[in-house]
Amino acid sequence: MGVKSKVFLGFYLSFLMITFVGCTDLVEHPNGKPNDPKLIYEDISNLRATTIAMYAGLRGDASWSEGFATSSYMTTMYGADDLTTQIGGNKGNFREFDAFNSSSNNGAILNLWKGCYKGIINANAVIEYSAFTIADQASIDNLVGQAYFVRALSYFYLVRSWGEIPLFTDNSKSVDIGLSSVAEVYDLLIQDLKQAEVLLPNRQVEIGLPSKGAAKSLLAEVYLTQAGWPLKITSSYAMAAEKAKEVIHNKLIYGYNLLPNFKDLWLRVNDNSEESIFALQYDNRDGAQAFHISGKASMPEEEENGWDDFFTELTFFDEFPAGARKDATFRTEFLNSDNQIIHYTNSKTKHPYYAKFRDGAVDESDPSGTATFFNNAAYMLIRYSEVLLIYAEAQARSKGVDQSAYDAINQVRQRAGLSDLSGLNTDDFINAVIDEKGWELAGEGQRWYDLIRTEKVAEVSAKRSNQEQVVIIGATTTENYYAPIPESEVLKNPNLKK
Amino acid sequence: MNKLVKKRKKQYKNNRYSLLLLIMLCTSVFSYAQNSVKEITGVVVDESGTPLMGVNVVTLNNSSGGVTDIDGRFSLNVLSSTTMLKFSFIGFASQNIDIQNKNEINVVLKEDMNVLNEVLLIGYGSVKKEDLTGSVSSVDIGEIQDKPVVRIEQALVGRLAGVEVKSNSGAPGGNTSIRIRGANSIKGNNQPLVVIDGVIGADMQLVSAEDIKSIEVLKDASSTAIYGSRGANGVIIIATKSGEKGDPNISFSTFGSFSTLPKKVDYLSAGEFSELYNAYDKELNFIPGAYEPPFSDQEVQNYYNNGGTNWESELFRVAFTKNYKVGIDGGSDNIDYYLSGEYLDQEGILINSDYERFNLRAKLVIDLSEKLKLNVSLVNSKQKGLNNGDVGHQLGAIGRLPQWVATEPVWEIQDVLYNNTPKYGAVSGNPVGIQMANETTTTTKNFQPSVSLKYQIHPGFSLETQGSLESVNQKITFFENNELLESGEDVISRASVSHKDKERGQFNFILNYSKLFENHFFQATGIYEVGSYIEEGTIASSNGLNSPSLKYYNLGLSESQSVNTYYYDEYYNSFALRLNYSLNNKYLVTATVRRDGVSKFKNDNKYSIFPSAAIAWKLSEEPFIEKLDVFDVLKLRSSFGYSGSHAIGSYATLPYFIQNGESNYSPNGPGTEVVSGLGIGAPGNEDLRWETTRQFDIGLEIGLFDNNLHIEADIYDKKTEDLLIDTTLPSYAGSGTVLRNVGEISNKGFELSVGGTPINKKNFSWNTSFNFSINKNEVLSLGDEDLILPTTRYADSETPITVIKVGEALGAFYGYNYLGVWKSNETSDAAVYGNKPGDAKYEDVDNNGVINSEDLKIIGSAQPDYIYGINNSFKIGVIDFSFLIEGVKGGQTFNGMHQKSIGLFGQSRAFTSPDLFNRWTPKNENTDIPAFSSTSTNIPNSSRWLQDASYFRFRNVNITYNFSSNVCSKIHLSRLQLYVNVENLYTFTTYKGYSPDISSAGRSNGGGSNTDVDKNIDTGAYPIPRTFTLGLKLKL
Repeated sequence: MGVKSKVFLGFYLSFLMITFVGCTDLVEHPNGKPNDPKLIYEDISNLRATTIAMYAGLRGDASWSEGFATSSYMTTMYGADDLTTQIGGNKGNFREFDAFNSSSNNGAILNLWKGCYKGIINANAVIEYSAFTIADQASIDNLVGQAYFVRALSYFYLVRSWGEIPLFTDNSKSVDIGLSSVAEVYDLLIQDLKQAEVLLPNRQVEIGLPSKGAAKSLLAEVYLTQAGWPLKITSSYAMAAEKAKEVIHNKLIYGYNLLPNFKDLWLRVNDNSEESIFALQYDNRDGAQAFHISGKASMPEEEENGWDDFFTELTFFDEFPAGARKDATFRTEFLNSDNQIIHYTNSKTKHPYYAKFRDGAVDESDPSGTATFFNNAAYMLIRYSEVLLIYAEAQARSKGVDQSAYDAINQVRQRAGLSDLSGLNTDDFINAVIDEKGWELAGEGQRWYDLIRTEKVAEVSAKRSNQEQVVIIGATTTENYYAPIPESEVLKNPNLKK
Repeated sequence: MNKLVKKRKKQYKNNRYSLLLLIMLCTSVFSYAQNSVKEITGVVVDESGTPLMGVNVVTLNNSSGGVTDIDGRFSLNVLSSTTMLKFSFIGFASQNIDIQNKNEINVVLKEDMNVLNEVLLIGYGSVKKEDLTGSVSSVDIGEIQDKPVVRIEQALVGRLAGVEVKSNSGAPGGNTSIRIRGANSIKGNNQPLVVIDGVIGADMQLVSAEDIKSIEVLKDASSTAIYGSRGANGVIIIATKSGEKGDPNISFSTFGSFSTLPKKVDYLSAGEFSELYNAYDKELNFIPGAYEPPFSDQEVQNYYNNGGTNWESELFRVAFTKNYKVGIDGGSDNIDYYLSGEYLDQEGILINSDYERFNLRAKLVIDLSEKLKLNVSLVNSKQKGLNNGDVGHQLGAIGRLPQWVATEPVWEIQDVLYNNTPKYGAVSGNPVGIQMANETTTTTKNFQPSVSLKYQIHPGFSLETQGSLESVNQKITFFENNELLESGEDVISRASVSHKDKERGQFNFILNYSKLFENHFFQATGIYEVGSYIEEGTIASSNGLNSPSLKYYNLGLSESQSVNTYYYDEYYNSFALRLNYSLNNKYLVTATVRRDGVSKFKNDNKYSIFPSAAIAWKLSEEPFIEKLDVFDVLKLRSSFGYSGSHAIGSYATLPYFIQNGESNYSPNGPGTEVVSGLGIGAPGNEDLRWETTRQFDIGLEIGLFDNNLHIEADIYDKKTEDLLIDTTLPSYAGSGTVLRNVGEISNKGFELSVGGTPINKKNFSWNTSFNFSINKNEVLSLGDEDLILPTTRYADSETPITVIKVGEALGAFYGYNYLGVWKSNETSDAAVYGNKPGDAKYEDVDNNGVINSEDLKIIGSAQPDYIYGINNSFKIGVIDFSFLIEGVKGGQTFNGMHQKSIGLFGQSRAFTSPDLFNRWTPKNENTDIPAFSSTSTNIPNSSRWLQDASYFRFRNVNITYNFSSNVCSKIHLSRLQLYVNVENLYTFTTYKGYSPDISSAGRSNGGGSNTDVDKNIDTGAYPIPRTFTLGLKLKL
C-alpha cells in the first residue's frame, strides 16, 4: 500500500468514525416538535379556531354523514306526526323510524350522533386547552362559554334521541367508557349551561354565536324536558319557567323578539334575526357546502324533481289550524315541469310539503327547473317563539295557568293568525301549548321531543291516517322512544351495548 | 458471440471484487508433502481464443489447485497418480479433463448459459447464485425486455414464486401492489423495498425496462436483514445497464397499442328498466284506486325502440398508447457510457384520463486509476397524469356507473351535462359528468443524481462510498368545472393547485474485506449509512371561480381563497455488518446484523437491532452425491432472522389536528367571512415502536440434466410482532384513529419454482417455467381486542365490510350472512323478523329473533388459497413465441358494483341489474333475489355481495419476428425485430365485475387499495384493459 493510499484510507476511516460517533444526534428533528397543544393554544386565535371547528362539526358536511346539514339529522324523529317520507327509493332509514321499527345499523342516525359528538370533542378541547391561552380573560371566557353551550346543546340532542349515551368530557381520558344514565347526562348539561350563562356576553359581536340569552333559553328547555319523561323531575318546571322568564324579561338586552310575519322567518334577509336565538350558519364557501334541508329535500320527486326526504303527515296537516302560519308552513300545490299546477291530493305521494327554508334555494316560479340542493342559510335550532311556549307550559305546570302564561302563548298565536286563548283549565292549557308548539315548529325537528317528553306518542300515532304509505310496524310505547346506539359504535366499543 | 463474450468480460470487470472472492473461495491452496509430484501447465481460452484469467483449476480430489493468470496460463503441481483436472470459471461450463499423462494441456471453456451460475445482487454486494445462503429470486430479464413494458412491476406478474403482484387499478400510471411472502403489517403498505443501483427507496416508474440489467427479489430474513428496518416486506434490487466497451451501440424501439375494456357488464337497457320500474312501483306502492304506472306502455315501447343511454360505453373508450425509446452506449479504455431516453404517451380506457412520461438516464463509469473507480449516474424524469389517480373509489365515475339508469340522458342541454336529480337512479353524480367536470392533473418531476467511488485498497479489501439524492417536485392541480353540470348563475366552480417538494438523501460507506485461509473463506462487509427525507408543500385553493375558463391559473379571481403549507422531516442512521464464512466450498454460513435509528420514534424506541443468520450445504459438492451423477446442483439452506418496519408518519407520536374546509365556519352569518377552524383529530402515542418480523426459512435447490431442469422450493414461517395498528376511535371520541403497537401476524408458506429447457435445438427451442405459491396469513393477536374495525367504509355501509380479527387472515370479510329469500312456506318464521315471503333472509346467529350487530360474522376472505404462473417461450427459427398464464385460486371479492346495480342503497333510487327480472315472486320461488318489498332489508355489508375471486388469465401472449442477419446487414442494422403482443388477453372467472383482482378500496393513487385489510373490494375500480400492441426494435 502506497503512502497516498494510506492517507486516503486514514481520511476515510476518520470520517467514518466522526459521523458514527455523532450518530445519536442525526435522528433528531432539527425543527422541534410541531403539533404541541401547549404551543398551539398559547395564541387565542387558535383557541377560537377550535371553537369554529366545534360549530363546523355540529353543522356537518355535504355527504349525508354528519351533523345538521341534511334531513338525515332528523332520522330519529320521524316517529312524530309532523314527519313522514316516501315509500320507495332510498328513504329506508327514515321509514324505519316512521314505522317504529328502527335498527342499529341504520346509517342515517349517525348524522346527529356524529355531528353532536364532533361539537363535543372540540368543545372539550376548548375547555381543556384554554388553560394554555395567554390573552385577556373576557375573550377567553367568551370562547369557553361558547364551548360549554355547544357541549350542552349537543348532549341535549343526544340524550333526547338515545337516552343513555357515552358521556365523553375529557379528550385525554380513556375512550373505553360505558353508557351514562340519562340523569347523569342532564347533570352535566345543566352544569355546563350554568357555566355558559356566566361566561357568555349578553350579545355577541358575531351574530351567529350564542350569547348569555341563548344559554338561558337552552337551560329553560333542558329543565322543561328534565321534568318530563323519563326523569320526571317535576320540580324543574319552576326552574324552566324561571329561566324562560329571564329571557323574556331581558329580551331587549339580549336582542330577542318575534318577527312580525311568520312567513318572513326563513327569508335570507332574516338570517340571524331578532327571533333567532341560536342558529347554525351554512355557507357554501366553507368547504362543507351544505344545507340540504332547504331545496329538494322537501320537494315532491314526481312533480318537482325533488327528493321526498320529508313532508308532513296528513293528520297533522288536517289538524293544523288555518291561518297565515299554515299558509306559510305548507305548500299544497306544485308546479310540474309541464307547467301544470298539481294539487297535493292529485300528486304522487298525496301529501302537502313544507314551505319553510326554501328561500335562496328555489325559484318559486319554476321550482322543478332551478331548485338547488344546497344553499346559504342560517338554520335556527332555538328561536324566541319557542321560549315563549316553554314559559307558558312551565309556568302552567309549576304555578298554574296565569296571565303571563296566556300572554306568552297568545303572542305566538296572534302572529300565527289565530285568536287568543283564555279560560282553559291547566291540563287543557298545557295540551294547547304542546299543540301550538308542534304547529309553530312544524318540520323543525322539535315535535318528536315534545311527544316523548309528554308520553303522547301512542295517542298521536293512533290518529295516523290510513292514507299514509308508511305504516306503523312496531310498538308506539316508551320502548321505542329512544333510538338504538349505532352499530358501528357498539362494534368499536362493546361497553356501549344496552 | 464475440459480443457475448465481451459482455461476460464486462460483467467480470464490474464485479471484479466479488469474482476475486469467488475465485479464492474455489481455490484450495494447501498441498501435501508428497514425493511423486508432477507439474502440469497450460492455457485456458474461451471459444473465440481469448485467454481467460482467473479460471479455477483443481484436481478432482481437491488436493491441489490454482488459478490462471492474465494470459490464461496455469501451472500446477499434482500427484503423479492424478488423472483428471477440473476447470471452472464463472459464466462458463465447468470441464473435467483427462490429463492422459500429458504435462501440458490447453483448454477451451464454453460459455455456460446456466442461470444457476449467474452472479446475483444482494444488498450491498453480490454473490454467485450457487453460493447463496438466503432465498433470492431472479427475474429473467430477457423475458421482460421482449415485451412492450409500460411498468416494470406489471412485468413481474406471475413470474416469481412467493411474489404476488396485483394491479389495483387499470388507470395509466395507476398503482400496483407487490407482496413478497404475504402481508406482514396492517398499517404499513407492505410494499417491498426497492433498491435501484444502490439507491434505497427508489421509484420503479423511473426505469425503462430496456435499461435494466437485472432484477433480484430478496425474500428471506437472511438476505433482507442487511436492510434492517426497511427489509421486512422483502427487497427488490434492480441494477441498470452500463455501457459496453467498444464502438457506440445505438438502439431504437417503439410500440403502439390500443386498449379496450376487457369485459362488458350487463346493465338494464332503457326499455328493460322502464318495464322493471313499473313492476317495482306497482309491487311496492300501496295506492288504492286506479293505478297509473310511472312509465306508460308507449314510453316503455319507445325506450325499447330507441335504447336510451348505455352508460358503460359512454364512460369507456378505445385508448391508444405510443412509446419511443432511444439508447446509446459504448466505452473506451477508461470510460464506459450509457445514455437512454424514453417517451410514453398513454391514454386510459376511461374517458378523460391519460398519462405521459419522459425518462432520461445517463451513466458514466470512469476508471480514475487502477484502484479507483468513479460511477456517476443521472436520472431525470417527468410524468404527467390526468385523472389517473383517485378515480376508482366508490363515488368516482365508475363507482357511480351502476346507479345510473339507461333512461337518463348524458347531456341536459348543449354543453351542460344532465345532473343533480335524475328521476330514477342516483341522486347525483352523472358518471360522465364526474369524469368530465373534474380534472386532476399530477405532474411529477424527478431528478436523481448518484455518485459512487470505489477504492480497492488491497486485493480483498475495498472501500466504497455512495451518495445519492432524489429530488421530486410535484404539482397537483384540481379543477371542478360545475358549469358543465349545472346551468345558472349560482353555479360554483372550484380549483386548487398544490406543490410538493420531496427530497430524499442517502449517503453510505461500505467496507469489504475477504480472506482465504487454507480451506476457510471469510468475508466481512461493514456498512454505515445515513439518510433523510424532507417533504414540504403548499396548497392554494379557491371556491367560486369567476370564470371557469381560467381554471387554476388565477385563483385570486374567485369568491374565496385559502392557502396552506405543510412540512415534515425524517432522519435515518444505520450501521450494519455481514459476515460470510465457507468451509471447503460446501458449508456456507452468513450472519448479519443491522442497527437502525429513525427520528419518527421517541426516546428509547429510536434505535433497534435486527440480527439474522443463515447456513447452506452444497450437497452436490459432496463425493457421495457426485458419485450418483444425478445432481448438477443440490443445495440445502436455512435462515432465521429479524427485520423491521417503521411504517408510520413522521410525527405519528404526536396528536393531530384537522384543518380543512369542513372545519371552517362563518360565525357572523352566511356570506360573511369564512373563518378557518382547527379541529381535534386524535391524540398521539409517544410509546410507538418498531414492528418486527421474525422469519424462518428452509430451501432446497436442485439442478438436473446438465442443469436443464432446475427446481427450487422453500418453506417459510414469518411472525410479525408489535404490529402498528390504527385503532378507530368511536365517533364520540373523535372520528380519527390512534396508532398503537398491538398484535401479531403470522405468514406461513410454501413456494416452488420449476424451470427448464426441454428442447434446445438450433431451429427450435422451448423454455418453460412454472411457479406456485401458498401463503397462509393469520392474525395471531390484537392485544386486548379480539376484533378491530378498519377505518374505511364502502358501499353506503356505516360498518366496514372487512375486519381484522384474531384467528382470521387480513382481508377477512365481515358482515351479515345472506341466506337468500324467505320462501312461501316460511311465512311465520319470516314474520318474526318483520318480513314476509320474498324478503331477504339473513342468518340470525344468536337466534334471538332480531337481525342486529350480534349477528355479524366472518363471511369470507380476500386471501387466495394459492397463486401460480406458467410461462412458455418458444424459438422457432426466426420467430419467438411466448405466453404467460397467471392465476389465483380461492378468496373472494366484494362486488360493490353489483351491489349498487341491484340498487336502492344510499344515494340510489333505482336499479340497473337485469338480475331483478329473476326476483322472487309467488310464481318464482326458486331464486336468491328478493322481491320488491318495503319490508325487505337490503343490508350493504352482507355475504350477498361476495363473489369468488379465482381466475385463470392469459396474461401475455407475444409473437416476435427476428429479421435474419442477411436482411439486417442489407439495411445496415445489426438487429431488427417486429412483434405483436396482447396483454390481458382473456380471464376465466366466475366473478361478475370487470376483474376479480382489482381493488378500489381506500383512496390511494390509482384509486386502488394498498393495504391488506381492505383487499379485494371492488366499488368501482379502474378495470385493467386488454391491450394489443405492435412494436419494433432495432439496433444499428
